[in-house]
Amino acid sequence: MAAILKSAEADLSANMEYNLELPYQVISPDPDHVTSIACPPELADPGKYGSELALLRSESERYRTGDKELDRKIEVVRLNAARTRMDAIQAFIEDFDQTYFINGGKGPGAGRAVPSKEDLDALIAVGAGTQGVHTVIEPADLDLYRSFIPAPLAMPEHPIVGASLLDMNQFGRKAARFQEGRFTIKVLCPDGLESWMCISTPVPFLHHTREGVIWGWPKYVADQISITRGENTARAEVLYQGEERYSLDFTAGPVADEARLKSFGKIEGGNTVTWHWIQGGAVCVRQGRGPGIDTGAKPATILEWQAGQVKVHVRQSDPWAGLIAEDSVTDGWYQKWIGGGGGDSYWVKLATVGGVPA
Amino acid sequence: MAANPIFEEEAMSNNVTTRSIPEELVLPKNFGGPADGKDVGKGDAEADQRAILLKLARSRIGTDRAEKFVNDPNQTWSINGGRGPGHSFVPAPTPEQLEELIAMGRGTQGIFTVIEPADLDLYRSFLPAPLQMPEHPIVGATLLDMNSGNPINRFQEGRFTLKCLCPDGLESWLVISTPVPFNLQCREGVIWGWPKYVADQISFGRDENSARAEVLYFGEERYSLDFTAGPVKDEAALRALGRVEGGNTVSWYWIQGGAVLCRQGRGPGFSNGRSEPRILDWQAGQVKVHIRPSDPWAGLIPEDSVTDGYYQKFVGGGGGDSVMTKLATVGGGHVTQVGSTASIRIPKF
Repeated sequence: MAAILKSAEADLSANMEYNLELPYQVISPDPDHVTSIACPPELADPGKYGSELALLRSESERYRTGDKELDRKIEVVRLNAARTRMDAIQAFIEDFDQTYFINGGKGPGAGRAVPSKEDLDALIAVGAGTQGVHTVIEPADLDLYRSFIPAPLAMPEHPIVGASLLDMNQFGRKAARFQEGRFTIKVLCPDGLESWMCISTPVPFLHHTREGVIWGWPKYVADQISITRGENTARAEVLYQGEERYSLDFTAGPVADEARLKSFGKIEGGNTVTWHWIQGGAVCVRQGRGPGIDTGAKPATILEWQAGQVKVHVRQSDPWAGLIAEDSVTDGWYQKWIGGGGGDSYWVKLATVGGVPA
Repeated sequence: MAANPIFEEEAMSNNVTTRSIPEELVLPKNFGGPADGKDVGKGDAEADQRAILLKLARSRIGTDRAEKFVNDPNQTWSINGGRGPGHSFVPAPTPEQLEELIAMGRGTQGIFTVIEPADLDLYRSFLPAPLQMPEHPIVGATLLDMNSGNPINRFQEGRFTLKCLCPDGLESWLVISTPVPFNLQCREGVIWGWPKYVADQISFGRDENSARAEVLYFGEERYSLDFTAGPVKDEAALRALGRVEGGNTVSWYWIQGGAVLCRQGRGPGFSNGRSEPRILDWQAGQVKVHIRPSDPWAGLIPEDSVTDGYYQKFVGGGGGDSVMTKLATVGGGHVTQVGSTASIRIPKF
């Protein structure tokens, strides 16, 4: 039987539910009538947004413990939070008169609360925090490096490649935990500051890829991402179509210059530039006020820091693979930290390319 | 129903694996062919879940191909996803297959209308260079219930579009806003330059002499089309519009530092060898279009505009070549490559 006929055996009049990080309902009493629901009406009321977010926070530890109704609420709240954030960001990006986006549009002084010492201790006790494997690598091919830097970004004083993979679990919430690989290059921005531009960003969820793509982070959904920490080792691995596409293998050991490694902090973290999509062009934005500028954030508490060597594997067919030597091994570090909160979240618009009528 | 993704972790430990797609579903050789749709929507939650994960696995392949194409300055056409002419993904159904599809209620249904723009300056502001004003500026408003062979593939999509003149001298439709009900299509869309957003819900209903398509967003009606059958001024002109933008859209694909303008289709007037779809239902009437007034494009048409339009349902087509045409690249070059065509605006810090 021809393929098209086999597909036709499915029943379009059936109601359905499936889960793709969010339970979707498709209600179709007959082929001519259909309603596809991502966010049920009782959870779509913006007036209840604050209480929904509170639910996401307060009930997080019960996520995926068997209460399907609660799971659904948390997943929909997560979608709503993303939609609200995306709408605000898009409005900022498309408004040429806006240069700064502070605390999601709420303005200065409305940043994250500073946790009390007791709250911080409680978070640390439950294992909250962000862990990652990090390294920086001298580029293997400067021409290729340059080709990845679109104008008006330019070559930095000292070109360097950053490779990291983070397991983000800052607040100990299962629904918020996710992993993200970041392959970045240092660039010189039009405001004269140097930042890190993201070249590739694997994540495990569609949810984050959609946000990422709108933000100009070139995200893709991996088959799976894992991070495993041993006493003197750590391994972060991204599988894509069954193949190891990106991995970082850390082994503790002596390094040439520990102070230099420590000075990198989170490498790109807090100082990334990305190109946001607009009709007919792109807008370059720094997530962060810029290196060396104090936003008032409290310093993170470093829970663990260990130096050693990091072997970086990048799938050889990826266009950016040639930026570093194959299976490069360089000094790097494993670290786990928890943020101090406070201060202002800044996004800075650096340039708009295209996007204007003829 | 199986959860997705699957978490394997000790609570709050430093070891975690987040699996999005089961190992047996990640490779094309394991996709299982088009029969995947056969068992879905019949109450077997496992089968439904497997089908949606396969859809995600397939979607990644499609977007990878598209990204590769738009990032390669030497490629102007992507034909059948890079497989070349004559290798269509969707074969045209035989007459017998088509009859069987029709008997089972298959097809894509939609409400369609076109509207004279209310504000030509605003219209112009939505056309980034090198797109230009067409000979006759016009706004397209549609919402489709796309039933691509099984319930997992079925989805609804609103399309609010503008006719524009492309650099190759042909006129196409630029997509301005595209609500969808699912994250998956949304992710594909934004990579393709379709400005998609996930609605709370999208519904489509067809009755004897009416049809209504409605998009809710945060509990509010953000986009809707209400069709009521009735006499129209020029039925032949409406029929000539076909699917309005369908098969002749242009959109801006994301690249680092710029955007690439592509047409999904060879262009109006060119045959790609595809069979004409069978029109199963076509009815003329009036279409009331509602757009949330706070949307930047709302002023392109009068508020709650009512214009002649149509409901239609069609099935088939298939065969021929799927052609994507690269029309222009804006930005994306490094400093030494940037020419006068790339407008770069830098704010005062």
